[in-house]
Amino acid sequence: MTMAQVCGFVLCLFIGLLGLTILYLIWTRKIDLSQLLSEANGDASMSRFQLLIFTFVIAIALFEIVESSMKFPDIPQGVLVLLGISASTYAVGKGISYSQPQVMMQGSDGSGSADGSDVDDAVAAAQAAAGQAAAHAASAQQAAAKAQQASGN
Amino acid sequence: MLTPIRIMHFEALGFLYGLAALVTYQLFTGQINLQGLMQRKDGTGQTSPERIQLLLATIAAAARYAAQVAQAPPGTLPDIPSDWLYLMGGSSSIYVLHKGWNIFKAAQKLGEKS
Repeated sequence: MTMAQVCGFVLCLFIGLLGLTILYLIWTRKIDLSQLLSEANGDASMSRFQLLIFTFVIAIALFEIVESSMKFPDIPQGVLVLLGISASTYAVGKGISYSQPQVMMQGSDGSGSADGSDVDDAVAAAQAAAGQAAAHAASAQQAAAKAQQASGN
Repeated sequence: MLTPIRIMHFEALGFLYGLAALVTYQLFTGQINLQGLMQRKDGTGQTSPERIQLLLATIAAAARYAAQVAQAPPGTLPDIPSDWLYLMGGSSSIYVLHKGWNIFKAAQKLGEKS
């Protein structure tokens, strides 16, 4: 067995383990895909869904062709245009959504309270909690330092 | 005998199909959030016809292309006919224009309230 073959097998082992690890982490939800299709307000996005479907179909087609002919084929212009349409739809949709964030946040709960006050309240509560946690951490550090001094004496 | 190229082929095939299977499984079991996929985002919660037509056009175009790939001669990636591109372009334009219009109307209503 030559050195090149050994390197090839080591590379195969590494890439195989990497792929298995990624799939395992997705399966155990340590890589979280739950928001894969979600917009900022938590609702699913049709343009993301469209892009996901086209990406999978074209990626699998491309892989099968590379595998059968062992060379990278020319990408037809129609495929590029289709992916361009899909990605442009996604980008324009995102731009429209973010141009009116109050409307988008209103749509997330369907309650019609459109002033975004719930979001502001949640942010304020999170900031207050973070401030309290920082204060507790500081006092715990002080107590630990005092305890070390006492044990040293 | 298994060569590194053959092993790499099986690994890539397994990863790609495994990833597609995992995403599909999570979509069907609700682990990937699909809530509101068919609803307007203007706060009314109504079912959106433009989203449904885009979904149907997407599924039809993807299925058609997968069939074309299966029938194509080996080593070539088939081109997409221009009429399908017009269909997808039109469908996406309808979706984006409706989305823009609905959000514009909802923003106007909000402005009137405040």
